[in-house]
Amino acid sequence: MLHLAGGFTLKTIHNEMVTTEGQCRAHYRTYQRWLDDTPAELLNRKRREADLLFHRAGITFTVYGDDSGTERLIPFDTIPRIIPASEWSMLEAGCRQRVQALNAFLNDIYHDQRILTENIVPADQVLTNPQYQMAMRGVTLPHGIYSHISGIDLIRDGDGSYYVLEDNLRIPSGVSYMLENRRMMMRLFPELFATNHIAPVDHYPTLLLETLRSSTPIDAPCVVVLTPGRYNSAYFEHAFLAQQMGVELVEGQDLYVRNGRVYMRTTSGDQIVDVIYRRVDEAFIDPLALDPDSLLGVPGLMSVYREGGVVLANALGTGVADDKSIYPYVPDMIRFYLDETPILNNVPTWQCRDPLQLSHVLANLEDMVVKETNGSGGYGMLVGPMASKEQLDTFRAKLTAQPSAYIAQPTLALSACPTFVESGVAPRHIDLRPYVLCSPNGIRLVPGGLTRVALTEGSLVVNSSQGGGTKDTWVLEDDTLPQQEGP
Amino acid sequence: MLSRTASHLYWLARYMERADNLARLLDVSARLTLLPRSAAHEGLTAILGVSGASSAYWSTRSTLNADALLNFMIGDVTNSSSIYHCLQSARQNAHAVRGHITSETWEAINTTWLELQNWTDSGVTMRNAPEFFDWIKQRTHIYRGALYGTVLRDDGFRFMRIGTCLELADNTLRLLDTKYQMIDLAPDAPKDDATIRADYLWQTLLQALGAREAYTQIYSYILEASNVIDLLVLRDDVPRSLLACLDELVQALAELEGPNGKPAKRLAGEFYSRVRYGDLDEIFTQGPHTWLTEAIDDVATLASRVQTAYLEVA
Amino acid sequence: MKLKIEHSTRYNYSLPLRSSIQYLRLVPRNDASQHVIDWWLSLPGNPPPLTDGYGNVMHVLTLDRPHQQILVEARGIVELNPNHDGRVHDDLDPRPFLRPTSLTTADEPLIALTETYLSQSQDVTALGKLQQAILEKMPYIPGSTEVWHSAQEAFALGSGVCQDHTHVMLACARYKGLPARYVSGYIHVADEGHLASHAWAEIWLDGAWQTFDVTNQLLRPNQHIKLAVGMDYLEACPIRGMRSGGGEETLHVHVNVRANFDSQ
Repeated sequence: MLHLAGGFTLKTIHNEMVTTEGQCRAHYRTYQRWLDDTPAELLNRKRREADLLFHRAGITFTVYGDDSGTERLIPFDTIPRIIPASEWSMLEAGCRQRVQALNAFLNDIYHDQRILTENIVPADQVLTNPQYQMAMRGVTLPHGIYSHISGIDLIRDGDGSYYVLEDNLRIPSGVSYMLENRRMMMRLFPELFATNHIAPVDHYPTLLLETLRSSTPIDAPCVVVLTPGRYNSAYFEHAFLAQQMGVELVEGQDLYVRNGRVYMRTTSGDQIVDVIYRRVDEAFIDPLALDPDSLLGVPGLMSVYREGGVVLANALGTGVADDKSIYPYVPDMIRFYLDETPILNNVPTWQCRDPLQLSHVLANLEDMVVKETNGSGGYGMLVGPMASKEQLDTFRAKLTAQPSAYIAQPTLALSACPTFVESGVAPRHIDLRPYVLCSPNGIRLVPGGLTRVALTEGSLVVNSSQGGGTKDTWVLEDDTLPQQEGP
Repeated sequence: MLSRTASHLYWLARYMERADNLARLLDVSARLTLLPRSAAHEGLTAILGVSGASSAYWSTRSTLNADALLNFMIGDVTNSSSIYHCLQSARQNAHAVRGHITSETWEAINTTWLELQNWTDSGVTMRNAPEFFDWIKQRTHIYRGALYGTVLRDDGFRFMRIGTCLELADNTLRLLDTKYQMIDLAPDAPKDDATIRADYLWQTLLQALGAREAYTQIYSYILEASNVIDLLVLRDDVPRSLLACLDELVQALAELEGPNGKPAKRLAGEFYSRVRYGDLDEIFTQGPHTWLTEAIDDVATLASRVQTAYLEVA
Repeated sequence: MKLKIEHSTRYNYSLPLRSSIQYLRLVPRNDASQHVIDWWLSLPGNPPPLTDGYGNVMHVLTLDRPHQQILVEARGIVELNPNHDGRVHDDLDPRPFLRPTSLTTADEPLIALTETYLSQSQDVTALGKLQQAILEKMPYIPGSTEVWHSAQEAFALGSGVCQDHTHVMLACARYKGLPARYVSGYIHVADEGHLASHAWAEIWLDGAWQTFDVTNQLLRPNQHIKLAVGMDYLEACPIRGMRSGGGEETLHVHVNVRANFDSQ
């Protein structure tokens, strides 16, 4: 059993597979029968096989702060996370709605600023946000799309209801693991795919390419993936996506600007680039416009971008909309721009910039999760119930010194999914990141997304940089599965 | 194709071949040291010479023996000519262009790199060297098999072929020149000894280049300098001969589009014709060493023209 | 007062440049302090005028053929408003200018300086005293700092040029919650018939941008021609570029200014 102190509605943890009465949930039944019939030794062998295959294929990531540049595998768990069809259609609609509103918000704050003048979102919080990009003022993007690729992080509380933990509108990563996990599962356990009706995800690269191609009015555009290079932690993914889409994987040094266009240097001369799927941080994109020390960018790119000579996906300046201090306003954005009721819940959030909310946070720090408004990857975060007294004191001092840099949320239970660990099959906490593609032809998702799992017992931090692993995510094609009876 | 991508593919191919060449050379040289009255020591010195690692070796060591040389040329991370370094560079280049080689080719290269750690961790000595050399030859065969069996015949493949051919041509010429000099420079040895010695040297050369069987088939068992040169320079049906390499190089260059490559293509064409329509008399009139030295320079010039035309970034 | 300006900058390189790219902000803007009657910029390749996110007029000069010289020429007539009170209005929202940048972040010594002068009040008088203190603590010494020095670094060095003075002023103002921006331009030194590149600060006070020229201890610009505004030097500087090849760069600047000439 898992024990977690304090929290929100947290008395119980939602188990994805088993009800509180110990019954297997309907959508897991077929899988559970298979699991019961499968000897542990086989599972063990399959897991080792998966590790070997991933290692051989070089599906690894580089750890930040590790000078040796060691590559590690992101641990892969062979027990899938299963989502019934009806639940997925709700999540899909919720993600679409959210991304649509967030794009409308970005377009608004860089143009008319209606939502600020009507005081739905405090203008100060937007305009003084470090992520508010002055260079985006007055730039009109094709179809008003800022976040072409979004990752919406979802978690489930004790009662099983879904919450959006955060939106990722800058450079959401991890989709290659979603694809590779599925391929691995199909290779290791083909029989499972015959008995469960699992919605496919393999068409993601096709959808991504369509999204990028339609992001420009140019016919038959030249699309490239821009990577910081092979020492970047997500390089595998950059190369993987470029290869899957059949487009060039370029580094800053491969591109240059001339007379208002971006060109790439090729063996048969220079070629115009129309769309850049940007996997380089915004600050490094143009050393003449932003960080002057950047060696990863393309000098002059900003001037071409502002004039519409190239499309960047995602756009610059999207970080202001996924900033944790803006996050509490997303439901208001949905009501304001779409005139709809938000489908997905936000996690209740205390803004430490507000003295009243800050004092509440400080008084209940041991029950809270505190995050930097501008942080990511699980760094710079406090999980109250797990923290030592020293850590709590450190954060108390940080909060008092710079309250506006932090928000706080109740410690959510996070649902647990059976996971294959040293001691056998045991529940571990998970989250879910669906990838949302926004194009003029609509907002599309492949069913599921990336399920991340905290492999340490009781841990709520699922980030791969912090020892998290991943699972294949199954969205069932229908809720009522045919009951497979044995002979 | 991006110039940077082409460059990675080209160097990936060169480094893989270089590792293989080095393993073959070390293999026969190590075996040679086991024979009586062998030219073992000169053979070891020659390896350092061929791979351009002499000064690096002597800067940290004072004696030369087979184990020390194996250690230096296989697993020494500080030696930029070691097999370790070649495979590391090949793997790094492959890593940078993983999207342009098939996953099978990548896995062949990556697995080689990963397994190399096991060898270098425990160390390669005369005792287990044969096993190691067999392993590396098999790994490069797998790499070539994966490459030729799965990779799309596009410009990327052509740059890999170009890299391969330049590396092989350079290696064949250098080995030939070194052995030829070793034989040539020992005229005062007793007649029989000299013949035996020359015999061993030519044998090691042919074995290193995997051309022992080819020689026997074409010229019978008697080893003669002129036949060896004929085989490794002028014949187009021996895979590592200069002519075979140039033949493939000219083809691969011709298939590349764009105006950039003219100077490289012109030189390759001239060089190819010179070898195709050249003969042994010409080589021996000029003196094999002089001829080979010029050819080595031509290969280097050709490589630098390829570099300028296609591979340079910024 | 009308100024007729001829300003040419020639870059010579000891080796051929393979390629170069420059962001140029060399076109003055109209506001309460200045009226641009005529302005003409001559650049290799005739790039079109663009604007940046601050509304500055920008040209992007890209040269990708080997060259050994770049010539940039500006000519024009600008009328300065003698009655200007040092306060300008434009449509830029002041709030983004509250954010510190890496060049304008206050560290402990700068915070101490700020608190000495601005803890009681943050009006023009208090800021005027701050500007005086800045110049006293870091006298104008040409060549004493490099272009990449931050406000902190220059202040610690104890001397600087207009760029450093302005950065320190911005760091202090922003630290106190006053929107503040960097202005780049020319200053006309009448006695010497001389025109020099210059920088000063504008701070948002009571609904307008108030000028603070720390180097010259002025609140009312009288000889200033404004080219561009931004968060700091990097965003407002007249020329920011990169090149590959070229060896050593030598710079020849030729300036000719005539005041109160007879217009034809």
